[in-house]
Amino acid sequence: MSIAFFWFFVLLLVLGTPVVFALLIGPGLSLVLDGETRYFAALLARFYNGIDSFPLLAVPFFILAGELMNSGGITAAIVRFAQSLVGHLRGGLAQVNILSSMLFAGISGSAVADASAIGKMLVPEMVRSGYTRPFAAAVTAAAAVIGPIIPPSGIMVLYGFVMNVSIGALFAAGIVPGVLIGIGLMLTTRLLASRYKLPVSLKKATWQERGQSFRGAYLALLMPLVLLGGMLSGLFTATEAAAVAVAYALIVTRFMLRSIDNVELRRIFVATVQQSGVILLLVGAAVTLGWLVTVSGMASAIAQRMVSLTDNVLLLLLLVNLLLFLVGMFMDAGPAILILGPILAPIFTSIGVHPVHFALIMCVNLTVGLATPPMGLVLFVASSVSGERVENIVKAILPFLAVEFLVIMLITYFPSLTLAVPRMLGLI
Amino acid sequence: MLRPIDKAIHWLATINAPIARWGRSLAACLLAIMLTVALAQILSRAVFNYTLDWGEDIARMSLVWSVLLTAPIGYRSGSHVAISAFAEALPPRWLYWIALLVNLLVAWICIMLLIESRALVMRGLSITAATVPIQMVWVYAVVPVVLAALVMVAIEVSLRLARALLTNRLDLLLSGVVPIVDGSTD
Repeated sequence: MSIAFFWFFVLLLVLGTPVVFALLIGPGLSLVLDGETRYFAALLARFYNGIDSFPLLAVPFFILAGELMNSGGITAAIVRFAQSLVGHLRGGLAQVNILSSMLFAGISGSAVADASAIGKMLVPEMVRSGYTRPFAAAVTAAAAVIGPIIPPSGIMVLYGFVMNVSIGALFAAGIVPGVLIGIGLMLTTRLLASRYKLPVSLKKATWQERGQSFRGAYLALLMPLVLLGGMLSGLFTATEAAAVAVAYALIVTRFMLRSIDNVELRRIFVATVQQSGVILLLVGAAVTLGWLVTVSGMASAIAQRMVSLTDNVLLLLLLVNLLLFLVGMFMDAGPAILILGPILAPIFTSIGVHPVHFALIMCVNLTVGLATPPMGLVLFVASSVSGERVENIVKAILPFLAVEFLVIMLITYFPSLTLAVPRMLGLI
Repeated sequence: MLRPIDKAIHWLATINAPIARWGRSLAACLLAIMLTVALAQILSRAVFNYTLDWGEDIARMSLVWSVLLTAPIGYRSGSHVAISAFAEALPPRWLYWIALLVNLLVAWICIMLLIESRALVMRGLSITAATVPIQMVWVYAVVPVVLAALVMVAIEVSLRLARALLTNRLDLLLSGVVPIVDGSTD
């Protein structure tokens, strides 16, 4: 089988074809051209098998849990708790924005949900307090990328499934990079706060007030602990953990807070299946791509070409980071992982990079790509919730992107930053 | 020339719209089933020390149906992820011609896979699920149904694009190269 499928795929992608169809039409055209139409049956079978998998249930479940928590008013409680902790600092609302994103990341696992939920609440308040609109939107977008890095994480579920890597190990490996990005963004904000005289908007909360705000948010904050605890104790698998997250979110929002009625519940279920359907159809198509990449000999050809460039692993890792950063500027993280994962992961694992380490490099890099121009999805969400033009947000986000790129370099060249926690928990 | 196109668009939209929405509603019900089964599995194992061996099969079947059933509405509402930056930079007439070509290619690949799905369904007649007495033909049957629905949507959007080109009214709302026909989320 020739690799014409790949060039057809790239051409269709550039022309604006929905990725899921480009992933099927490209190989289809190639099979016709090669006179090997008998492989259409295999194409369909791979696509079907790509969806027919129990671990993939985690995708709709995590989306559902995030939607329930968001619609149920949990976001407001998290923001109030973050305000009581860091709201009194210079540039305090920006710090609240970042801390809220870190806490929200333990619930949602999606950067878009994070930017939308936190941005809608905090950007107007930041602007009222004297922050410029581009800065408020930039902080929101930069902090939102923590969402899929700190567990649970939708893209890690996809990566784990397609590349056959333990999802529990990926979740554990995401904790340190996520926290590092959060701390890095908070330190940058602290530096910018002095330089640009960012406002102090809130008075320092008393410990009693902090306790009160914690009582409002503890149910949401407990969720990641329940999930990780359950997975580590062997009570449930990563997939089942997603179901537990939904049950937990349902109990909190529907029965304890009573903030979601049946009509809203129906809307959330419908929105969830549509969102997850789009992602999982892509998974099915990406599995066919992975198969074609292998049987056409493309993976080994690229591997040979890369290794012929240099046999220095550190240099190869730098090159792959630049490639991923470039791809992340134009493509959403999920599809990019599904398309590039089957091509790149085998190459790097074959030259001695740990599968979990490479997974994290890829996931973090492409997630940061969500906040980079010209096609950063999170930038568009931040623009939409703030009413600010994307090009103005881009200028304001540059210092934060520099920090995130630094963290990518750190996790690339210090594997223990990603591997220590899963090793400590006995997951790898 | 326009009247038959308009009639065909109207006829296809009358069929496609309810199929797409029913598919999504059924998918939402299947999500509830998946959730119930997954939670029942955990409870059964943790409380009664008993594994529901049929749970995984039912959840997987529901997942396959649920994912595939959302494909037509995803197509009609332009929800499928695409890189639209380059397409949007094209002159409108070029974009519409390319969009027409791409959507016809979508129809073509769905027809090719629809033909292949016959063998898949036939194979399902002789296979029963491992843990539940369900013939796999019922599970596989969703594949041709959804592919046929996608072909109909592809023809509908292609006709809309062709009409826009013929009348020179290039005012369709596009997501990449797909006209957004159904913007509803209810």
